[in-house]
Amino acid sequence: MTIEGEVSGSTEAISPGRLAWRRFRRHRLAVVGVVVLALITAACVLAPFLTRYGPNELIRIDGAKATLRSPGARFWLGTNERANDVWATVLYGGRISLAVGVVTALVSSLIGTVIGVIAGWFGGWIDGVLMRITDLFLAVPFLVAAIILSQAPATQSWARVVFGPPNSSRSVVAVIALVFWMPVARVIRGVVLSLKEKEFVEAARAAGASDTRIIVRHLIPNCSGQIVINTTLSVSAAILTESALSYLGYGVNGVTTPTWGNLLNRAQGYIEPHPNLLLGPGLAVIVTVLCINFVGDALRDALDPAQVAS
Amino acid sequence: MRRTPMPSPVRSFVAFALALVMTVAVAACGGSDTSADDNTPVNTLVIGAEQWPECINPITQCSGASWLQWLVPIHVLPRLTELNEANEFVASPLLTEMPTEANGGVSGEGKSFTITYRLDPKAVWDDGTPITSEDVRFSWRAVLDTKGTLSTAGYDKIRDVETPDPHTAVVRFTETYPDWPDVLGGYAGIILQKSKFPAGTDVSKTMQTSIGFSGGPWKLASFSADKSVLVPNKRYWDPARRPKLDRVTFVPTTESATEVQALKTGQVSAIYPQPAPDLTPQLETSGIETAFGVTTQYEALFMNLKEGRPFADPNVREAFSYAFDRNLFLEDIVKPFAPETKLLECAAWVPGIGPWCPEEGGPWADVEPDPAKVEAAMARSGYAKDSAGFWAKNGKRLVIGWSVTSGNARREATQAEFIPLLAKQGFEIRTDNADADTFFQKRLPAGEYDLSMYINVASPDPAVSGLYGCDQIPGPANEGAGQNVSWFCDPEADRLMEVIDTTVDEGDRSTAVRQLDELLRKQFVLLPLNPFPALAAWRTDDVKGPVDRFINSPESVFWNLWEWERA
Amino acid sequence: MLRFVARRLAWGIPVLLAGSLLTFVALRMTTQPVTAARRLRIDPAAIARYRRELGLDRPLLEQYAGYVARFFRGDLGTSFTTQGPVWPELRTALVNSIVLALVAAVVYMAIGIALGVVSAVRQYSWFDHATTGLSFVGLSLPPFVFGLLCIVAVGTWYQNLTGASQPLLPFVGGVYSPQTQGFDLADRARHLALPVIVLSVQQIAVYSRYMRTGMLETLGSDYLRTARAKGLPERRVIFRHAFRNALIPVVTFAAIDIGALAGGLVVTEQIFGYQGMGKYFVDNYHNADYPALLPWVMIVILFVVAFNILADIAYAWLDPRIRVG
Repeated sequence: MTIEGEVSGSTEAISPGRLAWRRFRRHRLAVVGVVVLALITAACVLAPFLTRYGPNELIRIDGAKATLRSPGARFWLGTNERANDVWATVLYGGRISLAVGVVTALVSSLIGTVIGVIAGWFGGWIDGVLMRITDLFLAVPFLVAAIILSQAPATQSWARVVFGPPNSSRSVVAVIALVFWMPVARVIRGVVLSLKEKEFVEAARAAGASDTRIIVRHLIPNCSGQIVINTTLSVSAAILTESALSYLGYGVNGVTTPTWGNLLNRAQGYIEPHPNLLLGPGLAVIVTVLCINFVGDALRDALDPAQVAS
Repeated sequence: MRRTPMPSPVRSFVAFALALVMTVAVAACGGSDTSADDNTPVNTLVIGAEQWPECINPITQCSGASWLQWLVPIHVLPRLTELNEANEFVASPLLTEMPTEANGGVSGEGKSFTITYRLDPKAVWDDGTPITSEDVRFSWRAVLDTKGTLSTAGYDKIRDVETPDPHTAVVRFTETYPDWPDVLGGYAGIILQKSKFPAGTDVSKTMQTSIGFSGGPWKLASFSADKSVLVPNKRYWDPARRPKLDRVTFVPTTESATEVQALKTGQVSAIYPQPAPDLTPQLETSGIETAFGVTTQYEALFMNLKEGRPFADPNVREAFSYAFDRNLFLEDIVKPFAPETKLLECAAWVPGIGPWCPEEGGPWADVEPDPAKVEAAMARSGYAKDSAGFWAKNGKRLVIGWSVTSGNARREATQAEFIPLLAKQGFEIRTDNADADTFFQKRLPAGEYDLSMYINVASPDPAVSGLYGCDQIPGPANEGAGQNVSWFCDPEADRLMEVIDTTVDEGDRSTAVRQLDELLRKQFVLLPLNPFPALAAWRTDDVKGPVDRFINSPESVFWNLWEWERA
Repeated sequence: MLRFVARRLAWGIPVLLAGSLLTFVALRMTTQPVTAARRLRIDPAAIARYRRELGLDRPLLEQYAGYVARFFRGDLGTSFTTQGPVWPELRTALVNSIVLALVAAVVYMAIGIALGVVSAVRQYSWFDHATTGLSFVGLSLPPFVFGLLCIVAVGTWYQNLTGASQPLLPFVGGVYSPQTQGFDLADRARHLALPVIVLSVQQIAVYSRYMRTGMLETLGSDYLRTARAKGLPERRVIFRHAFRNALIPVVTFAAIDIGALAGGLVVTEQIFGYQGMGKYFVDNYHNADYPALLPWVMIVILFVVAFNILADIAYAWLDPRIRVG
């Protein structure tokens, strides 16, 4: 399937992928965003090569703990209250935060897509039940869900097996994913409902294709734009939610694993005398989330053909 | 795309929106500098409270919160005995003198143990009626009979309170009860005005957000979730305690970062926060003065001696006690924010709070890091270091879970620093943290932990049978409400605790306490760390007077609020 | 229409019950009420007796059924901690949350929608890029960081700069200042300012993006092309048709969004000590006060369900009318 190329004024056929890329490219902020994100991810992945100290390493200078040193040549972002190098904590912390963000987004998109497709395709009472379950998850306040999922492993062994030990990355991913899948499910369901009536689906059914085949070969590719957009924006939302969970005390264990979220939380008390503790992870979060949002926004413009004013 | 002019309906909509926002902003900013309203006398103070009680009933569940005591009862309600700055039990202004054996106030023993209180005839409630022994008797029954009472310890040891005349109350105990000053007195005891509780009133339903009477220097003007207001009690009989301020308002400042900002910006004039590493640097500003004290709180590494747990084995406990470097802990973790703190060398008693723990040379004074002793103790139980250097027995590695309340920066920093150090000594320790509520409400009472670190409260009275008695281990006998969460049980210790609980003579009690302390140390039941400091901070341009006079007392710095003045 | 509403309401009941049961189970797993403070003078017998009096030793489902039955009778029960009725405090928290939500909603929806419209009409202009950038910064800050920054900004920084004796905006005392007695509108507005700002900064971004998306969709749609071809003035095209159409998804989204605010803003309320639904839940959770918490859950879910239904009604109502007109 090809679409007329509107931009250049000619009528040569351009693939939808190329067209999307051209529209994406117009968002300068998003292009910058992609580059910045790549740099940040690379820096976090290459953390051992870019840092002199470990993230949990207690630095001693002349026998004394080097706590709360100012940024300088030796410690680019200074040291924190545990005598760790802030630059190291930000880079290694970024690994966890980014990983949590991406994994959460993928898991929640997967759950949401599956539920949305099933609800939209089969309709009837299956749709009713699934949508009411979605309503239930939407109705229970986020904090309640966070408490349930993150503290239950402390007292229930089955919860520990499913969600991981309390305050672990696994439990945080579970908490956030289980409260993020609902919007995806709703959107995908809407798309499937509208696609269900289209001619190509009728044709496929008439040709004798099974439900699964239709879903996989026809519906999901047509939802892909929505899925991509939602997943991208979920990553940024997940990173922010991880910070909120750390603030409330349900984030990743701050003793063994620094993340941007729990670094921000610990830095609160030092905001005035030592703002570098807040600035390091804070800027990392802001820039990352900002870039992801720009990219997601541009993707929405690029992948959704109706989004261009004539 | 064509450039389109903005249509006027949209323009006017935008204009309307902006105008709305501006109006709200102007309304908000207008008059923000005139904080002294017409109806506010200037001779007042606003004080920040780090926790806020749900209600102010001094008998039921709400009374368990320290901050409840500091907000209302110590200012408004009279008591028989009280604690002075040195944490000694003395007579309150309600009594003419402190009952002692010499003046016949304390007499008898066993079934005839009796305390005779002589009330000051000048003592009156704020409506002018005298405070009588009938009020004393009524208060005793209120604590015993009210549904949801927090504690009846001691009150259930009273056979009767006789009222031979309005100014004499004779309290007859069923057994010798050395902690008698804490009954209807001491830190949490209170006397209620009987006439304000008509017969048949359910005391637990009263005093939710107001106390309609006063027998203290202050009267409670109002209490809500947002603030608590005290005004002077004009009828208070003791001239030494007439308040100098016209009004004191307490407000909740529960977030510690906000609390400090509130103090710095002048929204509150004084705070009494729990000391933390990030507080001290922020409070080092001109215009703010701080004072440190030592109260009855102490922090320790508590071990779980329950069967099947790593610390059920006394040799493991001993080895751990010689492996953990307490001096390094003091230097690295505590001294940065409380430089005057010393190590605690007693199991459950704090120096300066009664004579029970000496300033120097308590039982743990000889517990220093000693790798040889670690090795010896572990070897006695058949442990040997495996290929990775960790202690293991019969091919199974020893793993210890260390639980603290998650989110507590100081404790998490301790774990971060000491887990690697302990690993060097062969101990594999994993963090097993939980939210404070889950930890104290579920895990401790169920014994689901190996090693934990939290703050316990000592008391001027040395009885610890609630903490270490065999029958206090949570179980079916006490319906799971027992407080011995160490699962410690020793018949000799029980015998010593019995002596402490029933001996009045201070010398004999002291001996028994010392013996119990040594016993706990011999069995390495816990590892005491340090007495936990108290911290008060106030604005020098707002507050004047002996603000830190009671900084060493569990009554808190606000006990002498009557002496505070506006600078 | 009525049947639609009735059917949706009927579906709301199982959601309500399931949600409250879930919460009850979760609370039981993680907390235990009537746990004594860590003091030496605690009397286990007294604690045990009180627990029995509260019915905490009865089977879980029996306790849950009891609370639910009482709720539907209108009796919200008495709190474990205070022994007083649950409703007055819950009502105060609800009112405070509603006030905050509505005031903030007016502010951020007005600004957000306005920004979104202008951005769409001037797509890809510098204004579009600037608004995109700024509004996204709002979306990118964790709220507790932003809240803390606001506090420091209106407090110490402002005072250091101007030498004022009080901060620009108050952040202590919750709903009113400590000195205030009774109802004082100006004081209340001042205390709302910072929570509203913190909330608005996040939401303006969301609403302006939604509005922009909606406007772009409708500005490019076929029937608008027809309207233009018919010769209608551009002004009319944008306002009467595009704007109205674009408003539909925003309104439905807003309805759901505001309904969700019934659960309170936990982080924002904690920072500013604002006595709303979020703070109510946190405070009572610490005490494991089930009678106080279950009505809270019921009310929150009721709000969410009700606003969801409202959103669907609004969508159904707005849409055919505009298609006809």
